[in-house]
Amino acid sequence: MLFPFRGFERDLSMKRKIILNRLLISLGTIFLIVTISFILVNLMPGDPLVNIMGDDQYYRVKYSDPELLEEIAKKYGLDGSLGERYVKYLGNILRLDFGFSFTRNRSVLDIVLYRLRWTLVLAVPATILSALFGALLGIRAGWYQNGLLDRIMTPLTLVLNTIPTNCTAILFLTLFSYKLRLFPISGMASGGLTGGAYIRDVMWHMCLPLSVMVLSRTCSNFIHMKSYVIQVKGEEYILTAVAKGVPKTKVLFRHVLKNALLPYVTILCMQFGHIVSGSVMIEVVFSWVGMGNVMNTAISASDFPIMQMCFLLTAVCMVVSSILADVLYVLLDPRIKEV
Amino acid sequence: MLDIQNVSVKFSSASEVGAVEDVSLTLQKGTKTALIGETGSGKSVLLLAVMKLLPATAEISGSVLLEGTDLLSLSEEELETIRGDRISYIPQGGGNGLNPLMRIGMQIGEPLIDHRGYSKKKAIAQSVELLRRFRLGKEETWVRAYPHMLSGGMRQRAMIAMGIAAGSRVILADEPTKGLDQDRIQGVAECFQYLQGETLLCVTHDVNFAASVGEYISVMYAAQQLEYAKKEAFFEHPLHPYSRAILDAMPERGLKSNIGFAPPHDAYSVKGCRFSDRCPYKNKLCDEKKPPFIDVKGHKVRCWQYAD
Repeated sequence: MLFPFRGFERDLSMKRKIILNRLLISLGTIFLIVTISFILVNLMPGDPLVNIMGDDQYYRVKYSDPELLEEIAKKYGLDGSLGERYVKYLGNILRLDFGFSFTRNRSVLDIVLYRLRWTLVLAVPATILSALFGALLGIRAGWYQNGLLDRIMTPLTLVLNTIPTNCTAILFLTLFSYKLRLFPISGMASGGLTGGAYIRDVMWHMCLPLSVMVLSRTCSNFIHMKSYVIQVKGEEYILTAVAKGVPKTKVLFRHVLKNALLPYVTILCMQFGHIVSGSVMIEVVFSWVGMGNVMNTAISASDFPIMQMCFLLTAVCMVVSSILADVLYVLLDPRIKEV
Repeated sequence: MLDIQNVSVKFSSASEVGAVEDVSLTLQKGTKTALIGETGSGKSVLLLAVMKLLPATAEISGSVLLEGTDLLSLSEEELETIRGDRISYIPQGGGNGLNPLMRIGMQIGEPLIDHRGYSKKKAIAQSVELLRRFRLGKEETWVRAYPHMLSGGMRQRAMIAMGIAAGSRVILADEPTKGLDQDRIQGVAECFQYLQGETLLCVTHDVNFAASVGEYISVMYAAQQLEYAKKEAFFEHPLHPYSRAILDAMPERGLKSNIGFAPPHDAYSVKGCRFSDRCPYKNKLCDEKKPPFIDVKGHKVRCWQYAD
């Protein structure tokens, strides 16, 4: 028989190789995204400034003050040949220079990073909490299929899962803020507070938007986890474990869990990909001034540089999350050997 | 050692014909019995029923006595202490019977951890010894491997080792040759010959494999047991027309018969003999009355031909 252990000694180096390979592919993808974003602006018919400034403004400036137009073009790096502009654009991105906002006279990077912080304050705990709740409830409901928890949770989550988050958000807002006056109607913090009082105040403001996000994501996580557990439970190796006399709870912890968590990790990573852009609706409803809100206003105000950076950031998040899923899979699943 | 008495299995949703009907088999200590039959004849269901591993929807009747204890009357908790300890089930090597994310050594040693209180390390060390018994070669390395790294034949051997890990004396094996080529089948047969003192009930649809492993042969057809005999008696003088057809259909015996495959379960006459539609010797009685399991000098057969 062929020497079958090539894999063992080279296991680690092989895994390292796969991970390196995935990293390179991701870098390539990001480069491609950056380039596409450039092409979208620059190769659209007409002067790219039209796309940046909008028809009205462009033609007004063009006829009243052509020199100003040139100046604006220079400011946005739109002078020179296409090749020159591309190189300059790449250079700017490498230096994390995303230009100036159109509507607010600040650098795009400053605005976006500041807003990103507020989005993460909401999205990170929401992702973690819903991952935990979804997993715990899903495992229990899948393991005790047709048990009480399953019979209550499954129809409930299916219904909740079909309601768009902005509807739930408005519902929560009406009920808890307007009618019951338990939580603030909007915003992220009351003015004039510092230290511990400020943090408590922010958390109080966070309650509703966070609950809505956790609720909707827990529902979909629950449905996924439950189906993974049920699927694994039906596998032949689970029968083997039971036939070996492995006690029931140990069957769950030793055999079912790891196999069910593997696909669960993938959907969690996909959620991470939406971390920047996934909360637009909720942010708008609760006037939470994070990335979603920035994107929303940038689009209505045609603030192109901000839109471009949001687009890049969202794309990069997606790429990072998919490579995260790949790397985790390589580390967790011994079967993955080939690129 | 293991006494299967009038075991029947019915899935509530199934047709009038059960999955297993009134099967009785007595396995003497240290003997090896091969249970042969076509796909769907109920042989694998019988194995699972013996260990009470069937889903809750299955209705099992009869009794399974393991050294006097009726397994079918035990609770799930009581069964946990017996399964893998006194009676083991060996799944198909070609299938998905091993956890893909757990190392072989841990899976083989698992019964030792749960039944003998071994530490993980000690159990894995013991699994090396167990694999050695089946001459896998490079056992220390293989225990660190994951199932997908092993070939089908090696997986089957690992699973036999797993079955006897905690010293279980009764082994039930489910189609251990499925998906293996002739050479590997030979290897698996050898592995079963290494089992000395264990009582084996092996389900297979490979007649040659049954001949090399079993000391007793039992034939199942459409949920019923048609014949039971010592190996020599079975191969030299098969009594049931179905058994004769099987043996005549073997290439070694010149492919003398070809009666095709068994029809689906709902196509049988419920009243008479299940095999009557395909039987060249059938008479009126066969269609009307179910033949009894007749004892012809220790050779049992379910056929009207042998009734007095």
